[in-house]
Amino acid sequence: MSGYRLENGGLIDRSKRLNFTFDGKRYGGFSGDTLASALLANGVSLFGRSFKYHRPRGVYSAGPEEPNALVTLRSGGRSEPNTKATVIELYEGLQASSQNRWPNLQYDLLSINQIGGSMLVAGFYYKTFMGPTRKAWMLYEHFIRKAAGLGAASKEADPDRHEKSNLFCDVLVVGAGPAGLAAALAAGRAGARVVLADENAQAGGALLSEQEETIDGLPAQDWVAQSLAELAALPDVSIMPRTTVYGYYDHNVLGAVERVADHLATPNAHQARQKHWTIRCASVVLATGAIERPIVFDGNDKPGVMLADSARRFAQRQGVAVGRQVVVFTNNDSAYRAALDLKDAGVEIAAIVDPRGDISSPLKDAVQKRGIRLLASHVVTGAKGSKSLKTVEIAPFDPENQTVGESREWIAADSLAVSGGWTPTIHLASQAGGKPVFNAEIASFVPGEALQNWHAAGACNGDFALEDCLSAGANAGAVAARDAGFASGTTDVFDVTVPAHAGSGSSLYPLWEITRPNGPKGKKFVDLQHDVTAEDVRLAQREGFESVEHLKRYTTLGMAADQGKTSNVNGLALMAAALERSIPEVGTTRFRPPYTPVALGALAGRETGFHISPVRRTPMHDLHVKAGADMLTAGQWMRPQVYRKSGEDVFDAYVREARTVREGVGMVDVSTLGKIDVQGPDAQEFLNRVYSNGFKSLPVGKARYGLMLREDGCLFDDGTTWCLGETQYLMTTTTANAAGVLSHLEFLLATVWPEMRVQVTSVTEQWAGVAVAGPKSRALLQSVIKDLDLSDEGVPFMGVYPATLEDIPVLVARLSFSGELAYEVYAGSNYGAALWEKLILAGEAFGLVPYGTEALGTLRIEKGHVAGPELDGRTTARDLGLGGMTSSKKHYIGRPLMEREALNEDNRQRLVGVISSNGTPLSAGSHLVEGKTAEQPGRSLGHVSSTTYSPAIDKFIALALLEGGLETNAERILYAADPLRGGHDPVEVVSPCFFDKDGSRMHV
Amino acid sequence: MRIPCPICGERDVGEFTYGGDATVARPAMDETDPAVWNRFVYDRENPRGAHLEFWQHTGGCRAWIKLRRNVLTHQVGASELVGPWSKPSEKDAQTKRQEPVE
Amino acid sequence: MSSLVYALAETARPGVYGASRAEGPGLELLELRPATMLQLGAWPDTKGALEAILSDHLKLEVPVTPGQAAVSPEGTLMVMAPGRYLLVSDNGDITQSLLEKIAVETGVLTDLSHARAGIRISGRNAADVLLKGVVIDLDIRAFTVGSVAQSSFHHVGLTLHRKDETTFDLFVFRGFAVSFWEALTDAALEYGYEVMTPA
Repeated sequence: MSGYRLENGGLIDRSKRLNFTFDGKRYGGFSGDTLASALLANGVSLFGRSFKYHRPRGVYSAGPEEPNALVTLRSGGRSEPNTKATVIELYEGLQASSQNRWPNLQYDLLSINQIGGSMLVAGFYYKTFMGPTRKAWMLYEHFIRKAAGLGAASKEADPDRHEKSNLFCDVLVVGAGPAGLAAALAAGRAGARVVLADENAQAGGALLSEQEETIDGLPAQDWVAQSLAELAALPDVSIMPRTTVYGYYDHNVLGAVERVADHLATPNAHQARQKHWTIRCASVVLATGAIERPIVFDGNDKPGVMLADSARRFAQRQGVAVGRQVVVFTNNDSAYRAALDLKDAGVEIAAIVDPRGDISSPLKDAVQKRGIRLLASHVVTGAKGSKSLKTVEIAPFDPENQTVGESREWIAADSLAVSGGWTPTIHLASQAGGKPVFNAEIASFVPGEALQNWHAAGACNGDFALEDCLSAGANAGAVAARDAGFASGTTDVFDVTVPAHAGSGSSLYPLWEITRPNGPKGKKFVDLQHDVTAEDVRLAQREGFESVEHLKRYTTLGMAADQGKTSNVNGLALMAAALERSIPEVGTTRFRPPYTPVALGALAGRETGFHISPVRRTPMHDLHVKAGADMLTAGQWMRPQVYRKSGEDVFDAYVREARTVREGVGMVDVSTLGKIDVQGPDAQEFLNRVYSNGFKSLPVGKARYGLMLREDGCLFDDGTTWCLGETQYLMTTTTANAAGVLSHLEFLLATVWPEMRVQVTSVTEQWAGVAVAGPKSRALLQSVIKDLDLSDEGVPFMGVYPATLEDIPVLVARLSFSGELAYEVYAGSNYGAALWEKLILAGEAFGLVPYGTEALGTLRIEKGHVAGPELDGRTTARDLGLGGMTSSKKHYIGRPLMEREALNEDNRQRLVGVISSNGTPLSAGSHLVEGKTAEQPGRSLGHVSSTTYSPAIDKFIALALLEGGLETNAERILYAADPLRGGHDPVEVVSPCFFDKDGSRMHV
Repeated sequence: MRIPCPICGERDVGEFTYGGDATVARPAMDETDPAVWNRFVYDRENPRGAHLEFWQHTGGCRAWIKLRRNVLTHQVGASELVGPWSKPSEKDAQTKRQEPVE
Repeated sequence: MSSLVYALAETARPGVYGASRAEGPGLELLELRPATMLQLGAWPDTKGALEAILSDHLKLEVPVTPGQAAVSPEGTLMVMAPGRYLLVSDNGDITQSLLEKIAVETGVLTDLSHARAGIRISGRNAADVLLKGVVIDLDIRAFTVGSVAQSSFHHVGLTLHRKDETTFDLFVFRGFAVSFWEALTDAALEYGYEVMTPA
C-alpha cells in the first residue's frame, strides 16, 4: 500500500466520483482517472502476475507501453483480456480483473515457477520439446499453456457492434502532442484536409503534464486548448481522439481504431464500441512521441518500480502520488523534472541516484533548493521487496570506467522511478518500410529514409526540446500540405519558455544494465511482459543466436503484446555488449503492425454472423421460401435444395421430384446460370475461337452446346450459346464459372484480339430462368403460351424463340439437362416471380412439381452430363467423353496444348459410371481401388465425383473419373474406398449414361 | 496497396484481380509448335524488382490494364489500358504515382 | 404491368429506423424503379458517331470523360468507360427507339433494365454511410456533383452517381439487392434512416 491521491492537482474532475471493481473489490475514483491511476490512488500496488515466472507485477508506466498492468476488462461476452490498465479510462461501474494467477492475485500458486525459474530460460520450448522428446509436448502442453500466459478470451458472443469505415484526407497527423498540434495547424491553415488522430482521450501529449512551460505567451495547456479551438473551427480539419493509428501499409494506407464507446459501460443504442478506420492520405506527419526506457538491474520488475516520467504523469494528470518515499534513478536530465514536480506536489523524494558525475548546475540548484538528496556517480544495483518495493540498494559508480563500486547503501522506498533515456516511437515509420537509423546522442533509433510519403517530427524523430518539437511539427505539417498540393505561407515560429531545470535533451549517459561486482545474482528483466532476462539475451548469444532476428525469436524478446516498447533498445544494447559490437552494428528488427493490439471485432466490423458475406437471391427466392424449400447456398447463390412435403426427408423429396420429372413434369429455377451478352459484327468469329466446337454455322433462333478450354488444354467451362440475331448471342455458363468466363472473354478481347468488334456484358441478373422438364412439359407450356407453336416442328430441339407467356414477354429455348422433353423459359428478372407463379398455377392440371438442386443433380447424373465436379480443372474434353466436340478444322483457345501427348494417353482418368453393387449409397470423393478390404485398398485408380440415388434404374449410382476409362474397365468390379468417413463398397463400372442412352426421350 | 486505373483513377487493390505476366505474348493462333505454347503457358521469369503485370479492375470498370509494379519495394507505377481503347485516356493525367518503377 | 416485382419490394418497407436524432433521421432511402436501364457501347472509331446519336436523342451533352453523368428529361446518361455508357430512363420505349437509330456497326445495346436494383440515398449522413463500404473519396471536391463511379460495398458491386451534395443514386446487381440493402441499412442505424415509398 503506497500510492495515494494528492490533495490538489491533476486534470481530473474531483466532483465526479466513479465506482469500479478490481478482482471483485469495490474502489472509487474520479472522472479523468485511468484504471491504473485510480488503483494507485487506492493504494493498490499489485496488478498482475508475470507471463512465465508468475512474479508479482505493478504498474510500470502511464501509457500504451505498459508491459505489466494487463487486466481483463468487463465481463461475460464483453470481456476483453490483456487491456492495459494505464490506458483504460475509468467509468462508472467498470469491472476489471487480474490475469495469470491462481487461485488469486495475492496467493498465486504458480509463482513456484520462480523457484524452478532456471528451467524456463530462453529456448526452453525448443530444447525441451524438439527432437526425440517432441512427444513430451503432447503431454505437457495443456499444463504449460495453463501456467504461462496472459488473459483468456471470452467464449461468449460479443453483444456489441464494431464497425469499419473509410477515411480520406490530404494530411494525416498521428499524435496530438506539441509536434502534432503544430503540424495540424500548419497543414490546416494551408487549406489541406487534415485528420489529427491521437490515442488518448485528450489532445496535448506531453504538454498535459506541463505546468511551467509557455507557448506564445500562453501556459502550455492553454495553448493546447487554443490550438484545438482553432483546428475545430477549420472546416477541413477533423480531430479524432481515442484513435490509435496502429498500422502503416503500402501506398499511404493506414489502419486506425477509434474507441468510440470503450469509456462507457455499454455503448449507446446503435453505437459502435470501436470503429476501424482505413485511412488513405497524400501525406502523413508522424508525431508519435517517445517512450521512456527502463534500466536493467536486479529486481527491476518489483511492483513499485516504474518509469520516472510515468510517475510524474500520474501526479500531473490524475493527482496521484505513486508512493510515499520515492527514489529516482536516472542517467539523463529528464527524470529530474519528475523528482522536482513530485516533490513540489508534496511527495517525499528519498534520493536521486545518477551515474553521471557531472550534473548541470540548474538541475543541481533546483534539487538542492528543495532539499532533495542527490547521489551523483551512483547507481541502483537492486530493488527488494516481495509483493511491493521495500528497499533500494545503491552503490557508487565510476562513469569514466563504467564500474560499480563495492560499497552498499540501502534506502527505504516504496517507489523507484527509473529513466534510462527515451526511445522514439518509430513503429509506424518502421512499418512503412524505412530502415531506422541509430542516433548516438539519444542512444536510440530514429526513423530512417522515408520510403512512403511521411514526415516525422518531434520526439519520435529524436527532438525532445519543446521548441524543437513545435517548429519541426509546423515544418512537417507545411511540407505535408505541400505534398498534397497546398502551398503554405510562412513557417510558424513559436515563442517558447521552459524552466531552467527542464534539462537538456543531450544529457544522456548510456547505461543499460547494472551488474554488482559481487553479491546475489537475481533476475534482471529486459522484457517485462515476456519475462526475458538479461541472462537470456547472453544465453542466446552464447548459443549462436547473434542476429537480432534470431535473438528476438529465440528469446521472444519484444514479441509480447507490447511489441517490446520498453525492452527493444535495451535488448539490442545487451546483445551488442555480449558481441562486443556497437548497437547500430547489431541493428534492429522491423516493426510490424499493429502498434498496439487491435480487437478482432474491430477488424471484422459488421462482417460477422448475419452479415458475414452477401448472398445472391434469384427473383423467385421468396416464392421458394414460401413453398417451404430447403435453401442452400451454392457459391453465393441461395438455391432450393428440395421442396419437402410433410413427412419427407431430403432423400424422399428429391427422389419424388426426379421421378415426377421423368413421369410427368417438373420445373426448376435456373436463374443462377451465368449469362453473357455477346454482341458485335465479329461475335460469331469470336465464339468460334473461344469454343472448341464449331459456331460458324449456328443460325438465328438456335442454341448450341459449347466447350471452352483453358490455354493449357484442360476444360474450362461448358454451356449453351443462343443465336438471337446475326450479331447477337446469349452465352450461358455454369453458375460457378460465370465471373471467370466473363473475365476470360474480356481478357482475350483486350489482349489477344483487340481488333475484334465484340462486346461482352454480364446479363446473368437480367434474366429469370425456369427449366420445365418432363413428358408433359410441352402441354403445360402450350397452355400458357399462345403465340408460339411448341410442337417438335414449331420449336425443334435446340430452338430458341421469343414468345409471350400470358402477359409476360419470354424467350423459350428447347434445351434439356434432364434428358427429358424440356424447355427453358426466360423472362426479365422483375417478371421472374410472376413467371414462376403462373407456371405453378397452370401446372396444377399437369401434376407439376417444383424441383431443387438435388433432383437437378440426379437427373443429370442419370444422363451422364458433366458439371462442376467433373470440370475440376484437370480434365480434358477427351477425358469426359467429349472429344468429339474438339474441332480439328479450326484454331481455338487451348487446342495446341490439348493435343499434347500426355493429355491424350489412354490410361488417363476418364469419365465412367459406377453402380453400387451392394445397394450402399456412394460418397463423392471416394477412391476407386482394386483391394477388396479397407485394410488393403491398394492404390487409387480414380475417384467418385458425383453421386445420387437413381429412381430411373432404382440403384445408387455415381459418375467417376477412372484410370483408363470405360475402355479398360467396363463391367469390372472395383471398390469405392472412403477411409475418412468409413466405407469400402463394391461398385460395377458402367457407361456414364445410365438412362435413355439414345436420347429418344428428349426428341419427341 | 493502391492501383491507378486509367479510367477510374486510384483505387484499392481489393477492386482488382491479378491477371498474370504482361511481358508474355500469346503466339499466333496458327502456331503449332508445342514448345512455343509451352513457353507461353508455363515459363515465367520472376525478377527481383520491376514486373509488368496484367490486372483487371473487376470491382470497377472491368478494364484490363498493364501495371508496372516493383515486387521488392511494392512501388506501383503508372498503368495503361489494354485493348481497343488503349490510347492514352483522359484520366491518365490525373493518376498520381507516375514515377518509374525501377 | 402487375407482373413486375422489383428487387426490394418485400424488403424496403417504408418507415423510420435506427437511432433517433433530434435533427431527424440522418438519411432517406428510396427504391428507384426506372423503366429502362440500358448499356450502350461504341467501337473505338464510332465513339463520336454514337455520342452524336445519344446527344441528339437524349437532348443532352455527353460528358467527355468517363466517371461523369449528364441528366436530361429523357434520362441520365453515365459514361462508364471510354465508349461505354449506362442510360437510366423512366421512358420504357427508349431502348426500341435507340435500337432503330444505332446499327451494330456504330455500337451495341444491352438491356439491363431487370439486371440492377436502384436505390437513392440522401441526407446529411449519406456519404458517411456509403464510406463504410465504398473506398472512394466522397468529398464534394473530389467526387463532384454529376460524378459516377463503379466500385463495391460489402463485396457487392455498385454504380454510384452523385446527384447533389447529399444525394446519391446507387445501382447494384439485382440478385445482391436484398443483401446489399441489409448491409446498407445496418450501416445507417447509427444515424437513423427513413425508407420512403417508391413512386
